[in-house]
Amino acid sequence: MNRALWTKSFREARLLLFALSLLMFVFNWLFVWLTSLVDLGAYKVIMQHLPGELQSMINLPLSKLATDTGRIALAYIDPVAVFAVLSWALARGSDCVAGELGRGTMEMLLAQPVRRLSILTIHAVVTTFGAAALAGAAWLGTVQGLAACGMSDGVAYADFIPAAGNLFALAFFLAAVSSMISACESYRWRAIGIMGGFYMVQLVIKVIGRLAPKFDWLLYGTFLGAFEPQVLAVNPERAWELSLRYDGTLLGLGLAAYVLAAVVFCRRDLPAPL
Amino acid sequence: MALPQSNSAGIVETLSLTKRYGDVAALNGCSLQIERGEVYGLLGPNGSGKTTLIRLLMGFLRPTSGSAQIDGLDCYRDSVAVHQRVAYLPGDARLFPQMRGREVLKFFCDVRPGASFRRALDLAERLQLELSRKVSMLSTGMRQKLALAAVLAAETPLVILDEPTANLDPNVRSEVLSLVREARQAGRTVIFSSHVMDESEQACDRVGIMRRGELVHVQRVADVRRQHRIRARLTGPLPGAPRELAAQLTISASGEDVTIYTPGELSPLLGWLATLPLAEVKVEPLGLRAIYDSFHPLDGDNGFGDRESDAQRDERERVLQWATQGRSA
Repeated sequence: MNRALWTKSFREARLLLFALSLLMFVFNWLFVWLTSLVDLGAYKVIMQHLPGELQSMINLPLSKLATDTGRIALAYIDPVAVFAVLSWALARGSDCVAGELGRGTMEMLLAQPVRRLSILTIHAVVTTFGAAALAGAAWLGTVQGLAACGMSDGVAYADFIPAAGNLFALAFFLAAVSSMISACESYRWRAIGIMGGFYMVQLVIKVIGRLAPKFDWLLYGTFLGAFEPQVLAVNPERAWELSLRYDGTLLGLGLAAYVLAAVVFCRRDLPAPL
Repeated sequence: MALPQSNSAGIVETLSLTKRYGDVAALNGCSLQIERGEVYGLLGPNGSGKTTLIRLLMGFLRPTSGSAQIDGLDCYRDSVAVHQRVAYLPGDARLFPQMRGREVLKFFCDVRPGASFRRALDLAERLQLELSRKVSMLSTGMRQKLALAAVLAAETPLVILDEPTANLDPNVRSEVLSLVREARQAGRTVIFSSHVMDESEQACDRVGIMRRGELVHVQRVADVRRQHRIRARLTGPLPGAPRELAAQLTISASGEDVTIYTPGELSPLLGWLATLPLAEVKVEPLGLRAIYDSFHPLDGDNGFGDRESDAQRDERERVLQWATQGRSA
């Protein structure tokens, strides 16, 4: 594949990737630091007084949550971490086809002796690399926080690797679905809108599934049912099995979405720039 | 990089090429052949199918029916191999806004094997380009010139330019036409789409006139350049033309006004014209405009309310009949 295309793709991604990676690193570091400021006993008391619905949402029993590992693992489902992952996935995925079409640059690009599949693949690989970098930055932030706050004695760094892996799998899936929508669309804003709407619907399904036990079957209808990094972190003995299930689901669905995106993009008519 | 070349004389061949969007035919049954080394113009108003034809040749669109081949390769199925042979400038060229001019040229030279960055820089200099500025900070005309330099840097056997001079100032327009002529002299084939008749007349060997998605006429430009129309008002009766001229002239008279069409050199005609009882005379090259207008008359639905008069219609039909009689290329 063409080196110029790789360079272009990395150049387009680098600023956003750097900013989000920094955010992820600093956020996880600060999260550990703030956690270290709260006494574990006091934390248990606070948790005991929280409504049961909130504990259902967190999906961890109090015995696991009220540990250093459990508390720190919440950083991986914190809205800030999810926002960073979602931003990366939406920005990159939506840009893949609809972004280039909207800017009118796809026409000049595809007039070169370059396969459409190459353009999509290079974009996907760079996006996947970025997703891995974000997950890596989250883990490094946690490690740095633990080391800096002197909490490393009771907590194993490696316990958070499956959580970071789950974050990566989520980013991969979201980017793949965004790319698939982008491959069908001509307007980036519409691709972002559809993807944003899809995410919100999936989130609502997960919330209902968690809060109402009689609707727990809904969790099978949302990809967010496979996003449980906190569960992975507090169950190191089952980490492989759970990772395979959760990450396997997200990565498998993501791959399917990428294949669909490739089929659509390679067969579609290229609209004239607007 | 030497590319395998088909044995066919035509580098571009389409056969009944059609592209439909639902009930609307953007291009309908277009069959054309473009010879190697010629400059072929595409003329037609907006929506006549020029850009659809070009986009089908580039493999951006899947034909509804018919076929399009460049150098013997199917434009849609073998698009990558086709693009190795084609340099394409879109009508509204958009470049990567975050890149600087120099980076754009470097990118397009790197992405296409065989393209020369040195040549791109030379072209940029000829077109008076400012290469240190970001694309997002360039004017439309500057962006067009940058795209042109990027496209012409590739030494491909076929160059497709879709309205290359739109947004350019007159000096750069003539530079672009020089570049087209140079490409032709280098043996490259050029497809040149334009709204400007003068440019097409200067640059092209043949032009295809498109109307409502159909290729309605192909005209050899050299023939048009020789054709003249003489309008005269007479003070007396029109004497018959000498026998050696009569066969090639088309004469129409209405009262004291006479219109004479001549397909070849004017000089043999001038002696006879001098003998006519002339009150007024106007000699004009017929030009592509007259041919074009005969296929695209002003009518009530042109959106501006202009409607051609009966006399204009008669004149148009005469030009059409005369220009197309055995002269379609």
